[in-house]
Parts: sequence; C-alpha cells; structure tokens
Amino acid sequence: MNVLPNGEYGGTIAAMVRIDWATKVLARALAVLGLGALLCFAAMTIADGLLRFFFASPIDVVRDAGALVAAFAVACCLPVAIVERSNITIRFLSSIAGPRTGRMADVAAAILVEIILVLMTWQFVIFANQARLTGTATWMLRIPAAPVWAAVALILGISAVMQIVVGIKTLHGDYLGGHPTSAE
Amino acid sequence: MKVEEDDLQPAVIGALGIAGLFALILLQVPIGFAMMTVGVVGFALEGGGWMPAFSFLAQEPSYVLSSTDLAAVPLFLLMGVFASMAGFSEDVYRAAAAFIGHRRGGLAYATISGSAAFGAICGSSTATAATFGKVALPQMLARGYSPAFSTGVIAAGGTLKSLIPPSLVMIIYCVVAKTFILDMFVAAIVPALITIAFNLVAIAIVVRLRPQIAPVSARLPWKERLDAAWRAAPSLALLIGVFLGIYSGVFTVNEAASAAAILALLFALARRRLTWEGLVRGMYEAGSVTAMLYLILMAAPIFTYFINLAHVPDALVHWIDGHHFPPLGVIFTLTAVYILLGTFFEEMSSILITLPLILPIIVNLGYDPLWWGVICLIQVEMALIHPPMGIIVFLLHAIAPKISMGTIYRGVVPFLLADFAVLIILILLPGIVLWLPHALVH
Repeated sequence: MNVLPNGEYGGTIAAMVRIDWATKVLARALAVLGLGALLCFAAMTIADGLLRFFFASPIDVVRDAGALVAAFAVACCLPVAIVERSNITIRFLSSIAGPRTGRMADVAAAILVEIILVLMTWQFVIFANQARLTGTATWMLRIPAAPVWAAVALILGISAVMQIVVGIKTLHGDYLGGHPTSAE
Repeated sequence: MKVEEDDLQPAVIGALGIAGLFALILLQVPIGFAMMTVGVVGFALEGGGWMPAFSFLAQEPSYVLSSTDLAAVPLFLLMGVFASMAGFSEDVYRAAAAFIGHRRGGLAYATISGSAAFGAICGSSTATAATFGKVALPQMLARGYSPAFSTGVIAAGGTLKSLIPPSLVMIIYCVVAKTFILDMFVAAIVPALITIAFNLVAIAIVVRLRPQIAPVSARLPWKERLDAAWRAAPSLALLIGVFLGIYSGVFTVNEAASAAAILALLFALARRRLTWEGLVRGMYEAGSVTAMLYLILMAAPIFTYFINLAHVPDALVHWIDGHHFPPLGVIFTLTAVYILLGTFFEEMSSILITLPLILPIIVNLGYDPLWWGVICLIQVEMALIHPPMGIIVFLLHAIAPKISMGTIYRGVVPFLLADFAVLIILILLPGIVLWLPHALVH
C-alpha cells in the first residue's frame, strides 16, 4: 500500500489522498454555494411577496430568474452526492455474495456512473451551446440562459472528474480517505 | 399477424429493459444512474437512435433542475436543518410532555403529537426520528418506559412525516405523477389525522394491556406547563404560518418553503444556536440529500419515456382488462407487491421506479391519482419501520446501540398494525381521501 515506516503515505498514494481530500472540500463548498444562493433567493422571494402585498411593487427578477437560480443551486449539490456516495444504492449483492464480489460490482457500477456523467456533461455542453445560439432568455428581463446551462455542464464535468477519484477509491478498497496531513 | 409481431417487439424490449433495470440495481449501480442507463439504451434499441437517446440526458434533467416547484425540496430540507438547530423539536416535545406527560403513556402520546408537529416543519422522516430519538428516548427510559415501547413510539412518530404536508415524498410523487402539489397536500390532511389518531389508539391499547411498560409520572404545575408552551410558541407559529399560508392560497408551495427556511434560520440565529460549523455541515448534508433526490427525479422521466414508448403500461392495462380482475383485487395485489418491494428497496425509489407502470393501471381502474398517492405514502411510512430494511429502526439502533434491533422491531408492531388498518380503510373507502380536495374545489 506504499505506507512509510512512520505510518504516513508516500508517493502516488499521498497524492491520491490529497486529491481525495480536495474533491471532498470542493464538493462541499459547491453544495454550500448552491444552497446559499437558493437561500438568498428565498429571502428575495419573501421580500417580493411583501412588496407585492403592501406596495404592489414586485421584484421582477424573482419571478423571472427562479428557474435559472434553482437549476444552478441544485446542480451545485450534485458533486457532493458523488463524492459522499449518497446516491441510493441497494447493497444486496455485497450481503449475499461477500465483500470481494460486492467490491467488484461497485467498481463496475462506478465505471457505468462515470460513463453516464461524461455523457451528461457532453449533452449539457451541447444544450448550453444551443441556448446560446438561439438566444434563449427569461421572458421578462431577457436574462440569458446559456451561462447557467454552461455552469451546469461545468459542474457535471467536475462531478465526472470526482467520480474517477471515487472509482479509484472503490478499486483500492477505500484506503485513500482522510485529510492530506496524513500524507505529509 | 404482422401487426401483432410489430406490437410485440417494443413490449419485449420494454420487458427486457425492466429486467435490465433490476439487474443493474442488484449489481449495486445507484438507482438513478440505472434508470438513466436503461432509459437511454432502451430508447436507442427501440429504434430511436443513439444521438437522440443521448440528448435525453440533458433535455429531461434540464426540466427537472429548473422546476421552481421542485425547488421547494431543498428549501424544506434547509428548514428542517435550521429548525433542528433552533431546538424546535425539544420545545415541541417538552410542551406536549408538560401537558399530557403525567397520564399513563403520556410521554408516548407527547412523542407522537410532537413528531407530527415537528414533522410538519422538518423535511425528513429520518431527521424527525433521529431528533426524537435524542430528545424523547432518554426521558422515556428515565421514567421507566420499556425500551421496546419507547423506540416503537419514536419510530412510529418518525414515519408520520411522510403523510404530513409539506412532505418531500408528496412533492416528488406529484411531480412524477403530474398532479397538483396543493391538491395532494389537501388530500393528505384527513388520512394524516386518521393515522395520528390510530397511532394514539395503538398507544392507548398497549398501555391498557401492559400498564407496566409506561408508568405514570407526576403532573407538572401550570407555571411550568405555560413556560413550555411559551418556549414552543415560535415552532408552532412557524408550523401554523406554513400551513395557513399554503392552504389559504396566500403562498405558493415554493413561497411557503422560502418563508419557512428563512424564518427557521432567523429563529436559530435569534436563539444563538447557529454556529458557522453547524451551518456549513447542515447545508452540505441538505445538499447531499437534495442531489440524491434530484438524481432519481432526473432519471425517472428518461426511464418513463422509454417504458411508454415500449407500450409496457398499455400492455399491462390491456392484460388486466382482458382478465377482468376485480379492481380491489388488483389494488390489494399492488399493495402487497409494494410492501414486498419495501423490504428490499429504499421506499421512495420503489415508488418512482414503478409509478410509470402502475399509475396507468390505477387510472384505468377508475381511481384518482391523488388517492393512489396517499396509499403510496402510507406504504412508504410502513416501509420505514418494517423488517428487514426499516431505515428508522436502523437509525434508532445507531442512537441507542444497547437496544437490540429485535427489541425495536417488537416495539413497532402495534404501530405497523395501526398503519395497516389505516391502509385497508383508505383502500376500501377512497372517498375519505378525496372528499376534502373535492369539497374545496367545488
């Protein structure tokens, strides 16, 4: 396993531990960013309701940009589910066929997930490009949709890269987890 | 003959697709990704072509991601995070315990009432059960309640969340079944009240038969009761505000979710219970659950499109029509299948995977999708606590490792029976579910 005599990791493993730690931090930061944006938008939604009710003066951007903010906010959460492997999985095979078979299935599943994420990224790049070419925008303030879909494509791309790390961890039986200090 | 062969081919591909989906799930592929894979590959093999099939991977998810209705899901999850931080669960439980805790089984009644109230301001069943596991369980055990009864009550209280609006499972069902969320919220009110009543009756029967499992404790003076009620006032105000706002039509569901999340955050801030670390942790945990739910929601329409193109739901409907099965027989069979599926599948996935197949059958039999949604929610409730995959039972065992899984499963039996009774009543009398939405519409 490339473990140094003092219990720390060396070489490639040390690098992988750092990458694993960085992916976790990045994924969590993205989730906080996305939900933070959604919370800000929720505050604006309340302000819009109050202004509409008391002064008949709504905040146009709230109704206009809701769908785009939601898309960005939720897409920001996708990497954290990849990194923390919180997507719903039935671990029936591991329990009946043993951990070795279970891990082989996990590796195969990780490859399939990677393929789907790469395909999704590719398709969202096309989707964003089409939105740019057709000038898709919100109906009232004409906020362009393409940058949001490009951001979603970028986040999916990041998720695909993170899934590679998850796949390698799965292949090596999860011994790469931890904080980079363990590699120093 | 030629027509029959042409009809057969998509149905065979559809059947192979469903078999493939279950094979991938058994091979430990995350359910959302398994649904996407089968949907895309199935569509391509049905003659749709690979490029159009791949395009589903952006078209359908983009609708789901940009749905403002669904944006209520992360907001209600955040509300639950902030409500837990603000200590609302403790307040609600203590207020209920202060008023009825002195009766035999009083803490059990308080747990069910408190869980129902907290469930309305918390996005998740497991979060409700986890919070009450930490708040109510030590008090019940300290007052001599039996471990089986205490954990059974807390588990049953946690399951109520599925049926109490605003429930995430409800929102997700509505999006997939294409029914109005507000109608579903209204339709769930009476069944939720009946379920709470049946759970309370279950407690009453159990403590009457075995009084030693729930000893009587001292009555609190009125001052302490009023103090507890005052302390719980903000959480009750939030609960009533969300309910009244949604049901009076002042708020849309999304606006109610926004207001609830922000108000819960402000309460947590005002009570100085919000730490930076807790906030960040709560947010990324909510983000993780959000992504988990959205992945299945993005995958469901891709899979549904393939299933519909293969005419699998039509084939099932024709098959049932051809055999003239009695509608109630079909419904009870489907219920049994769901309960069986619930022993292996995570509860929400089993509904989302099967809904494209089952809903056309339900509608063809003359039932309302709202009614079936409520029936599904009760099945979800039961799956949370019945063996061998009762997630809330696992959770309570993790909170109190000294109480064995067997003990907890023994404790939930009266409440499973209560849920089962509610399920049978609602199946036999669909009008109970539908009269309130119909009365409000007309």
